[in-house]
Amino acid sequence: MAKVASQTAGDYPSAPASAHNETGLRDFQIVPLKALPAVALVIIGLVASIAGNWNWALDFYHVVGGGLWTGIDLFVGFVVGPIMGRMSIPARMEFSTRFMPKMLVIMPTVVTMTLGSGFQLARELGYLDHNADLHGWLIASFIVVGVMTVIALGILEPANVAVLFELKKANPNGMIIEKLMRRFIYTAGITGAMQIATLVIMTRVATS
Amino acid sequence: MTGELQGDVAVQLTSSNGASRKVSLPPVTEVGIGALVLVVIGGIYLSASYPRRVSLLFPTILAVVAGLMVIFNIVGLARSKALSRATFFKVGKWALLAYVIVGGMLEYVFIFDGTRGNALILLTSMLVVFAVNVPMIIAFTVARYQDTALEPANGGQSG
Repeated sequence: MAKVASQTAGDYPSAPASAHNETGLRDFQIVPLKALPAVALVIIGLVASIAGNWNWALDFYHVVGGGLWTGIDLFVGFVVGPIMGRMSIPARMEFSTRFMPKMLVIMPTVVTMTLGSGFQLARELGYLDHNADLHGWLIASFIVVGVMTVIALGILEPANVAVLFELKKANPNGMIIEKLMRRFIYTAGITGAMQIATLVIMTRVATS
Repeated sequence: MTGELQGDVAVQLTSSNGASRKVSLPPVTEVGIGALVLVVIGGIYLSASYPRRVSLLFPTILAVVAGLMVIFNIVGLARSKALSRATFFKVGKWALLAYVIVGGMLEYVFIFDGTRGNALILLTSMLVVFAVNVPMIIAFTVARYQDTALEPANGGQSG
């Protein structure tokens, strides 16, 4: 990842305004409004599952949400990210304008699905009880999630929104985008390690 | 604009017409992440001890310090003249709405699961800190890269 960082650092000049405008890259929604009804449905389903303590639904939300969260994080951090780092500047900007708004909706949704259902499952299955055999593993998962929460909410999400606002400008400043995108590169290793730890913990819990 | 903000330091801004100026912004991101870390530690501590009754002293100290850090950030932002307030409020209000919904969901789960009394008050306080802090970090990160020269004279809070 460091190689990608060094290749892109300082190599992200301001995009030509005319090219940026002509390609219609500014005509995007920072938050894709069409996706919000789907998000609302997912959240309503989650609330109903928690309220009804439906084990299958809680399991479904936790497995689907967790699988997507881990998969997307690892795929974007270690496959898409390095590919983006080697793209031409206009291609990278075009990809970002189409990719990042979707991430702004998808990631908070899958994280909410995973954590909301996971806590309720742990409670229902008795894993939260400090006498439970798996209690230590649960606490380890809380710590892993805590680290990922700080990185995601304190570092990555603000950068994501700021990049999209910059791309909305008639003449986006490539230096600003570059600096903000570096946050994703620098945190990819930590996020990757936390996701691997999550896989170890969850498979350990599931097979006990 | 060039230069990543590192604390309360001067930042070089270059506007679209090429003019440069140096501005100083409060360390909102760093302090905000610190507050987030404290709230997360408090949340993990309380979740780890659930459903036992444990001393709330440690998480209370964390919540109070985190709250003071958020207040520090609010004061710093209120005093800062260099920040694009129109953008800050435009982004902040929507982010706040989103995190109030997230915080509300968490509050619902706590109440649904039978959390009551001082533990509920403490968790609610942490959620308030969380729901104010994260939107503030997001709005600040966006607003610090906007040119305040383009803002209306009234501070543009209509966003």
